[in-house]
Amino acid sequence: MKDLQELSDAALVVAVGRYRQDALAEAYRRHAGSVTALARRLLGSENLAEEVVQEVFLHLWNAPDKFDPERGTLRSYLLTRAHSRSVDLLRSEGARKQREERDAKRTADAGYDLEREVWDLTVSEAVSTALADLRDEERSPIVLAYFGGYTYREVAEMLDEPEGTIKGRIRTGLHRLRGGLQAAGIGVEG
Amino acid sequence: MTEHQDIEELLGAYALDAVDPDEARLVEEHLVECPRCRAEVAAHREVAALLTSGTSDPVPDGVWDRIAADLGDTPTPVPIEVAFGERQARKTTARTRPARVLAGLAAAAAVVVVALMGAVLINQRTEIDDLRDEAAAPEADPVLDLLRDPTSQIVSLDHADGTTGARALVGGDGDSVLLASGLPDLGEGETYQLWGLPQGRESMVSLGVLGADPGQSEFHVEGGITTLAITREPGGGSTQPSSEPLVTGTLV
Repeated sequence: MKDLQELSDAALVVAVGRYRQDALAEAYRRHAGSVTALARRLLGSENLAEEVVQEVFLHLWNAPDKFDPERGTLRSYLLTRAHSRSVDLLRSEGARKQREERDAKRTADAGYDLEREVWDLTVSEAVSTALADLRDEERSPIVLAYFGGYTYREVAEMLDEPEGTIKGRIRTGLHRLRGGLQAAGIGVEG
Repeated sequence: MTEHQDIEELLGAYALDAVDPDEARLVEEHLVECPRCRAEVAAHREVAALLTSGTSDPVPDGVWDRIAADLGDTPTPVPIEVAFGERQARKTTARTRPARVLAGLAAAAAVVVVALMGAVLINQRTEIDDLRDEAAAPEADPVLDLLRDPTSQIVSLDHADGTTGARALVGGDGDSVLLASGLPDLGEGETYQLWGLPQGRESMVSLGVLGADPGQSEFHVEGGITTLAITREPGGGSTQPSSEPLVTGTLV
């Protein structure tokens, strides 16, 4: 058998499906760092972030069939789960209170600070370029929603724009970003 | 605006978990029946995941330890007692047939094939649990070796009515095991025999004589075998099948 390190992510999940703990360990070695970074950014709490990381990988162990390699990469699958779990925690009562204290006042200024943080988080130059190519009015809602964990309604309030406008800009912005990434030759298939 | 357009408008925000719970439910109900919107959500999520590409935080050691500790709760050890033949009455469940899935898709790129096998094989986890129960001995068992091998495939050999008569675990290197717990005992002077049909050929090659009460048998397939079949044969077996196959199964 090939070394686990040489297996594709998809083959690795097959091995996880066969109760191979070393395969799960390899998936963890490859992706736990990204999952941790996203959960930390969203939650701002070490303990909660660790909880999310644990939950994400245990879910992969218990339900490997939920990952469909035809629909995306393993990395994106794990990050999607981590994002949704983090946002759930964020929106639960206790956490919301803490966060509101942290953000004191949700304003457009908070959005600009967050954007600066995201530049630090986005290491890849091609991704930074694609993000920079977006119009501000599309970039800000995406950044606030994805990295801030805000709903589009909250984003609309922060940016003082109609809800429908923000909803639409998130969608067109993601489409445009995809185009930009494809043009840069990274990550996403046509 | 139609309801579909309303939901389409939400897809970007939904993909970023930026909708309210009632909106999320609306979108999810729609996604069940709309492949185009499912694809759009998947694409948005792929893009979102790329926003953090290159980012990786050190993970504290304790996290993996806690995950590993929880894995122990899942069933891993293999039962030692095995009773072949007692499972014959067990109802077989519908399961994914690799051949049928593959036939529906032009598997041009190797990547696609690998991905596809991933999906198919993962769905066989229940089947793996069954096979694990049937494995004879916990140590040095070829069945377990094959289950651990991600390149192996599970082939179900079915009767014409769809019930399963036997299952084969075919290794990537051709070393394989047949588990035939769903075939009735034969009388004296008869034997079961396993056959393989090489691609593009019309006559079967013998892969082994199984005896009158086949349980677990090892066999080997060379590349190019596309179909497995079991027939009833007289005495010590035949050089060519003398009757129609009782059960057949297709290799990917």
